[in-house]
Amino acid sequence: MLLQLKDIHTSFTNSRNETFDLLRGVSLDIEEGSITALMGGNGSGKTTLFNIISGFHKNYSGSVIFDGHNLKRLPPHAIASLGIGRLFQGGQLIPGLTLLENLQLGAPDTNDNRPLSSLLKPHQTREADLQKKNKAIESLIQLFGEGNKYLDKLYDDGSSFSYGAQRLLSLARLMIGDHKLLLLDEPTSGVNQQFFDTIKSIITQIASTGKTIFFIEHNTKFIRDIADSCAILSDGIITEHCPTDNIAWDVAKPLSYNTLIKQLFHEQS
Amino acid sequence: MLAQFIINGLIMGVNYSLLAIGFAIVYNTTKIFHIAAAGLYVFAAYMFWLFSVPIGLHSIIAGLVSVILTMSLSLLCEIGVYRPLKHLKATNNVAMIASIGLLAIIINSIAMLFGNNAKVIQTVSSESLTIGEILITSPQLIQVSVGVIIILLILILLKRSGWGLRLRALSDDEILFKVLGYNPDATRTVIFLMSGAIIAISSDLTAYDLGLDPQMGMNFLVSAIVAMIIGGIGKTWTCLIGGLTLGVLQALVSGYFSASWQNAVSFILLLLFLFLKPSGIAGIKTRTV
Amino acid sequence: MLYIAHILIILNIYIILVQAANLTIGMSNLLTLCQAAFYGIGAYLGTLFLNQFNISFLAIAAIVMTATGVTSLIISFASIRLKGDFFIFATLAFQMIVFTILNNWTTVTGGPNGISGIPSIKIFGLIQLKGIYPHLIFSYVVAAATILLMRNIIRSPFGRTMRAIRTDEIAVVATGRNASMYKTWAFFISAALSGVAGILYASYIPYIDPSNFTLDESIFILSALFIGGIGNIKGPLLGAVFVVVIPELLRFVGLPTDIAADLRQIIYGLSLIIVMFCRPQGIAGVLQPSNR
Repeated sequence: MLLQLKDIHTSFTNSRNETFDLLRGVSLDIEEGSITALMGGNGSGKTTLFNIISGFHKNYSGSVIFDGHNLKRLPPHAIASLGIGRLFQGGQLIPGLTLLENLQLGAPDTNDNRPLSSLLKPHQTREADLQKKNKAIESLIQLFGEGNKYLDKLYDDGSSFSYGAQRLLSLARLMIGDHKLLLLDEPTSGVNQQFFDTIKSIITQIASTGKTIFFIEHNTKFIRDIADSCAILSDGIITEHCPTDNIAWDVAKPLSYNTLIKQLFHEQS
Repeated sequence: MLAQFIINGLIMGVNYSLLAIGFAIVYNTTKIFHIAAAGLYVFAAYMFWLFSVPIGLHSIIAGLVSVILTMSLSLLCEIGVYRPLKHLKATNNVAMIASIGLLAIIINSIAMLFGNNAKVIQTVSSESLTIGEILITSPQLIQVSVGVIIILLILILLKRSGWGLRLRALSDDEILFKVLGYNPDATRTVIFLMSGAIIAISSDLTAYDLGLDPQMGMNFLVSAIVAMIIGGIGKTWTCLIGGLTLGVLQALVSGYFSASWQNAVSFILLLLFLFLKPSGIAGIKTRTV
Repeated sequence: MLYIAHILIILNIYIILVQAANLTIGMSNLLTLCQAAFYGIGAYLGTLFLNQFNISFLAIAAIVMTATGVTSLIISFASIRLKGDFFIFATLAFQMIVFTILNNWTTVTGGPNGISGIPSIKIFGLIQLKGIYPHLIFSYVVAAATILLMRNIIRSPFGRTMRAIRTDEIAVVATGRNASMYKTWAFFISAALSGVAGILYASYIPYIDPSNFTLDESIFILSALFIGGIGNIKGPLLGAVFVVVIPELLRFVGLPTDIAADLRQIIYGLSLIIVMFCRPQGIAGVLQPSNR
């Protein structure tokens, strides 16, 4: 088992000191190499669950075991270094950095954590950075083919790309890292049909390299096409976790009203 | 002696509390690090001096004139600088830098017009009241009584009236505030007028007792900010707790140790609070983003 | 000519200070109000070593940089995790504490009277800098070295990650990088460089007192940075020129000195506001001051 969530509880307190129990005992096992979809209504705590796994949300009880490590006491960057990659909701390229620089950030940290390394060891630093560059180009070619348009835009600012393209390239950035598990928060939200299909093929490609994928999604078509199994988060617990094929998609599962609305919306567009 | 130090500290604490409230109502609602408040403080003191000493008005009238002028200058800061910057979608950091600019302009204009020397308002040695071993001068008595009354008035106003609610609503969520049909700009106008008045009252009370010079503002403001933080950021009444604590602490340090170290002690206290209990004495949980 | 040389030395010292400020404020998004505290620690510690020991500049600089750097680490460990304004408050407190110590620890710092008759720094073994021109040349060398160092850092992979953290810290953390460590490094280098500027100042003037290292001085350096611009090399350079050279031009208008001093401050104030309205990234800067 790559990732084990055991009895996770978390609550929020608002400014009037009222407490809401958001997660009330989430338990879930994610198998290595699987593609698991996490479904649930708006505000059901899906993103919070991702934040708990990534270490950005520390105020919880229960345990998160990843690859034999208990993540409770690890800071977010250490958790990421264990091999957990993350695509944020609306997560995009960093403006002010070129596409290439954005992709280089995705490479595992090797040479950029010492301020004076490029002064003291210029040759090594340049070599390591060149490697990152090559890796970035390699993955662009792998994902989008030889001579694709992004190769000409390596030095364009991250913010100059369209929303959908930024989503794609953010996924490409994840591909460069040595991740074992990718947490994708609504990879297709807000992108048009053309990008939708590309994102699907990219995720399939990434999965074929043996990476485990755990993603939040509202679009049932997308889920049916790529996920092995689905987990449904409702009322703070995982109400169901079963192979995708076992879900009778036509009979709407007890998802919240929100989700149904959202599904209809996506299916039409 | 201890009782005397504590009384002196409490009186100073009332002043800090007032200035802290003047700073905090702007800071809590607009998130602007309003350093120019130090400039307003100096401006108020000089207007008080100008109208009471060279022009010779009665202290109360001079004080009122000073309050009104400071309110106008405070509003001018908002309308001339902060509000246009906000409409330009400037960040809080930009507003803070502009505020530093305002501070430099105000303080140095005053220094240019009135000179860099210290001035006094009250020339005759004042009468004093003795209770047991404790001695309170009449300016101190004025400070503490006016200060406490004003603080209570502000707190009651904020608690009871619709304005207090609007202020709190604006500080919580400006977009929601707009959606509900309120005008943030109008509310900000009131905030800056109130803040100007409170700063001026605090300044006049201190200047009446201790005199004034163009560089006095930053020292007092920095103490008021310390008071605001150790009391607990986000509310108004916490400034009173922080101000009194700081005033007493400083009085004790300068009484038993040395006045020149009192700043170091207050800032070590600030650091301790920042590191150990950033929510302040009142311990209100603040949302950190 | 002596006058121009003097201005240029002061300019070089401010170039170092403002470049150092850019590393924390511009590159790492850590708004600090304690630049002058490190400048002061550098000046006083440098003076101590210049007075007591017969060692060369490099040795003193190494000691001072270590001392200011380690001091910055103490602040970093305690406060880099503090969010936004709380970090500013912590640096403000540190600035005020350092000033109070300089002002009151009379046996070591001379208190408000300061220390005078500081020996000049010695370079290349023990050749002492005599007079204004050697100091001028030497200050050029140090300022140039600072600029080269900054250029190297900004263009290095480290600088790239710093820029990324500045815009989207969470995204960078999610790639497995420890954002606090980058900030700690930036603060360390900034403090160390400010310390070196302090030695240069003490050795050149050669008289120091606490009034050179106040909160106002910190704010002054901050203003210079924001007028010039943040996020690159040109901005701080221009900012230093603006605050050091332009006011000197006022002298030639023939105003009385104290009025000129006030007017100078008013001009800074106005420039700050105008720059914030027209070009919030500063005249030559590249990055917007980001929100806290």
